[in-house]
Amino acid sequence: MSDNTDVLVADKLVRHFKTGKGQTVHAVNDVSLSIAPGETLALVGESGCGKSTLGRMIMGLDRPDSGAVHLLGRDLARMGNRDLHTARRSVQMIFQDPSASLDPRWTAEAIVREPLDNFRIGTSAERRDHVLQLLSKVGLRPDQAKRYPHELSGGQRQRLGIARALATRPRLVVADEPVSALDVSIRAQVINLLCDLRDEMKLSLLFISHDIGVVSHISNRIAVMYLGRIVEAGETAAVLNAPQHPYTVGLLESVPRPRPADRRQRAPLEGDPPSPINLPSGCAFRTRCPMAVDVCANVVPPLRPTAPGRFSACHRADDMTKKELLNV
Amino acid sequence: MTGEPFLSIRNLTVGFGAGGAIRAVRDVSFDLEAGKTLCLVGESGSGKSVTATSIMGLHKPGSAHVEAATMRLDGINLLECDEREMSRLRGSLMAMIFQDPMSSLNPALTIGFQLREALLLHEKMSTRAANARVMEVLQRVRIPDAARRMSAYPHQLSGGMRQRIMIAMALICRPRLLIADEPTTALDVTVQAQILWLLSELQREFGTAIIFITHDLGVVAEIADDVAVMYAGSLVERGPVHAIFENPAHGYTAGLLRATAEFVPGEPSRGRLEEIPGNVPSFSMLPQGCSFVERCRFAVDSCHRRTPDWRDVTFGHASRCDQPVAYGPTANLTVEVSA
Amino acid sequence: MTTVSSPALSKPKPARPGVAVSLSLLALAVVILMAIFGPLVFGLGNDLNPMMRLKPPSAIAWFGTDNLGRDVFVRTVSGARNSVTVGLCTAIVVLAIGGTLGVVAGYFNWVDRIVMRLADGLMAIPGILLAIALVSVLGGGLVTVIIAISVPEIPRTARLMRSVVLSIRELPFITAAISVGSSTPKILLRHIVPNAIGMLSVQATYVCAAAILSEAALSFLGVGTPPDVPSWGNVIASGKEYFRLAPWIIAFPGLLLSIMVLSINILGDRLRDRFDPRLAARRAS
Repeated sequence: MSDNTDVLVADKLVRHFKTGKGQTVHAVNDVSLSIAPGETLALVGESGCGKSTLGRMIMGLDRPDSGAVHLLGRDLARMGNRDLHTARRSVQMIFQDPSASLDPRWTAEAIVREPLDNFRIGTSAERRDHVLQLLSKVGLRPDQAKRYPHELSGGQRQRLGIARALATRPRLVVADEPVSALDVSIRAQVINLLCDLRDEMKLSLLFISHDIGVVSHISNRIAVMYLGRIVEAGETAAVLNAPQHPYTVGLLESVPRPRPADRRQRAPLEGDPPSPINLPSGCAFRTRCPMAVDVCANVVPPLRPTAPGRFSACHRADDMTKKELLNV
Repeated sequence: MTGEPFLSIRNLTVGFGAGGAIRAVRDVSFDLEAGKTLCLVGESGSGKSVTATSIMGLHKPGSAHVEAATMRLDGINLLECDEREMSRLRGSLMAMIFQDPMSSLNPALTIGFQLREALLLHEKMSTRAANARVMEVLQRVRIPDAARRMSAYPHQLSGGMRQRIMIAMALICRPRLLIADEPTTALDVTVQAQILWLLSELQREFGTAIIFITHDLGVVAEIADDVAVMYAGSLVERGPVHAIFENPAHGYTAGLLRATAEFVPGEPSRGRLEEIPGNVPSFSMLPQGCSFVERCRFAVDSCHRRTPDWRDVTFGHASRCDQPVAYGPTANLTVEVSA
Repeated sequence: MTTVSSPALSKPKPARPGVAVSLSLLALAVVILMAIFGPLVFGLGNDLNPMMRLKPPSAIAWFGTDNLGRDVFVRTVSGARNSVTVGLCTAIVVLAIGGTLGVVAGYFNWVDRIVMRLADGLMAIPGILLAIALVSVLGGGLVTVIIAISVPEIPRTARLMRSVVLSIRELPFITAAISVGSSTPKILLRHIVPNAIGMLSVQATYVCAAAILSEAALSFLGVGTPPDVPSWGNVIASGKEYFRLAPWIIAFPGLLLSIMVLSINILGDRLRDRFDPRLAARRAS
């Protein structure tokens, strides 16, 4: 599912961690994905599914055990430190917790200026102007440039984080749960800002989130992760309206909707996700899956195309159209 | 409505700091019927947790100034209870669960021991009988393999399991009021759905009244019978859940509903989200008049001048807003916007 | 924008320094003045006066005299110079070496393994014994004393800085700095060190106080500064045999020593509160 024009192509990424006790955490198992210019791919899943580890590898902050991360055609996973530094200019990150991701001892201006200094973008005077432009672009006033993060509100801090991420004019931005730490009345502002800037700067966005509502709003395509693997991928509306993996179905069932009229009538998906240390044999979801059959325990289902642009890693993906199977 | 409501709060004001000058909760009034769920909705700093801890009497002595015209639970005047009576009521008549179960569990003691102690604190019974009750309640909150879990320590359990243990601990003495302070915020959505489901199941079985504190409108729609919306320390709207969602009558509630990105199967995504401008005000910088006035799209002159009084919208649905009809129904909002 | 704010709700006043802190600062200022001007004004107090041996405090000798008839007041005031010098120099040496080692060890795992094993080894030796051994090898004198006191303090400070850096290193703003392309030296010097400096300055006060005490202990044991240069330690040491007869020889320098160390520790605690990020956040909100 890649072609040469894609901004990012991740190919068969694997990342395992060793714990102190000599156990292996299977954080990311054989994940491939691609993002086209201007496209927003949402990475959806619950805590521990490996979405943040995947994000770190795509940022070049962590190297995969195997597999490749092609950013604009060059493999981050095999780059030397100098090349990696250069490559970082084209991929930037927006963090979940705006307070913790801003150095408390730096002013807003210094924070946004840091990437400009690092990549020697423009002269000193140009950098100053550029910083003010960026601040106004994200809706911060010039007089706020001299403020420290703790003197700004949560929403303003996240705006600052966005300004920093856009300073180098990156091609790809990895946004790791960028609104989940914000007050609900502030989220819409930040989501709109992110959408506007994405369209204006023709950014590609990897949007990591567990919030289906936000994802449905912001993304073109969606990849659902469960225990280190992508279990389903496709166009956002198609996946959300007609999921082809029972985990996606369970996830969508679990999302509370602000509509008292369609209150859930059925018991939700049961159990906790298994530990990524002791993965179940075969399909990792089979322990919670209402549709599991014998083959699920023996064979790891590959992510395979089910329709144009649609992929599912379920042995019974073709049965998924028969909705009644899920109502067990 | 016949007789006295199960829980009745009138004009609750809670202040912190010197002389109670920082008023985190101002003039909050609501009722709760036995066996019903009231959702207290608000953002961080809206005063929703302070309201709950005031009902539970959980403020550190001397730290908070709690004043109210009425605070009655099940016929008991909580304002007249001293600390000893309150601590007897906590656990037996009312109980509370929190966002982070780890902070309320002792990491050095087993689950079984802690549950048994919670029970023996309020009821006289043999250890054997207590253990049997603990087993029963663990099974009731659907802890798999309950017998083995009794000898487990808190860190050996997942977040969802720990929250189930907390619910078990809260319900072991069959309290009639359960206050749940963002109990699912730290959990994954699939686990959150399980916990919400469990709470409503237990409520049906035991007839427990629940005050559920949350900022998540989805959760509210899922479990509430009644909703009370808080903003900057005051209650701005209250009413039955359907009325609040379908016909919000306060600028803040309406703004929140319109600003929330939601996914509804079969419906196209809303276009641009409607933003609520500005930031949540701090207690020391509250605007004059309605506290939401600076962020409200529908504000008129009078909103700046004085704090609006309560107005009835429909039976049981009231709002503290001078423009309660301006917002219109939200039921067809998606269609309107996308059309 | 119209806002109401009653006087009680307006900005919190900057917290006034407590009485303890004010007194500590005062005591410290007095001691430092003594250290600078004491020897200039009073000399070193080495004039022997056999007629005046072991005299109690009086108008002539405010703190009394010692067994050689030397004025304890003069020796105490002038002794402040030695004690303060040892305290400050040790703090600087320990912070420079221990702090650097700790920061580097905290950030680079491979350095960590080497430095921390060495530190463990050094920490296993009782500090005062190590100091005695060093002094006996290198001979007496101010520089030796400073080295002898610094060596056992360095691993402690290195360990502390390492743990501070380890926790800062994991914060998202460090990840953010890496992802905007900041070099490792820049991250260490511009992000990690400024955020660790608070803890470092707190540690400085403790090291300073401990060094002053250690110097006193070494002098008391007779391996500290030479007896003809007074320090609180050797003044106390010279009084130890006459404690029953002439308690003032020990009492006055001992009192000053206690006040000085207490003051420095109080200021250190105050500094720690100031730099604690959680407390800082509470002040900011």
